[in-house]
Amino acid sequence: MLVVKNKSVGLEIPAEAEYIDVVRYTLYGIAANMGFSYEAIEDMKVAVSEAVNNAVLHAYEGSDAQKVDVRFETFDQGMQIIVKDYGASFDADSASSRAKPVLEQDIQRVGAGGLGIYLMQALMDEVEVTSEDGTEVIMTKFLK
Amino acid sequence: MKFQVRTEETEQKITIIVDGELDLSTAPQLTEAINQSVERTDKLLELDLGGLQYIDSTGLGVMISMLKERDRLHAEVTISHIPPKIKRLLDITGVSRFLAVSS
Repeated sequence: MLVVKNKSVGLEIPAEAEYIDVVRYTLYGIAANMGFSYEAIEDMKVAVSEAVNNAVLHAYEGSDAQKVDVRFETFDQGMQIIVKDYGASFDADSASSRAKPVLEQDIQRVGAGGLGIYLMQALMDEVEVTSEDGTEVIMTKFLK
Repeated sequence: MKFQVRTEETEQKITIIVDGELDLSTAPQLTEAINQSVERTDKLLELDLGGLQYIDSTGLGVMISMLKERDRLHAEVTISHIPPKIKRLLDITGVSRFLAVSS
């Protein structure tokens, strides 16, 4: 197993859907080297993609400044993934309040809104969203 | 090829078969395939996830839309061969309760 503790790996991608898989593949390489379980890696892949999805979909509506920075910070107990965009700030509190699983019994009342943020919260150990000069999502997963 | 979708039709059913990674960039391909068959109320519509390696909330949204539309049309729909890691996400998000699963 490669020791990659207390290191930082950075990735800058265009804010386009076609590049989101590159973030997942990078995450896979780092997390596998650190000894994360298969299941934990799958969880992180979904969570980081949801954060990048949000940046791609919402951050740059009507703007040309289109990039997303992703940073993987490794430490003894686990990994932090930071997804940062520079687009329109996003109301983190209101987004968090919409984060929920599907609770309705009637399929006609089900929407997919809020599922992405809900998945981030459900699949990571800690999620923090701040909005200042764009939006930054900081997600932490601990080695179990 | 990161994601592929193809449709097969028999006398009883129409099967949409997916392979690869279903995310924000590939979800439109599945939406298009579903749109071509979703109004065929004369047959069972099956979504075969056997080859699916990854799904995110965008892909879940496409599946929810398909289930909704078939429910609205009172037409049969099933999702088959769900890999365990995909099933886990369906369970976590609560989407599972709407699935008539065939193996």
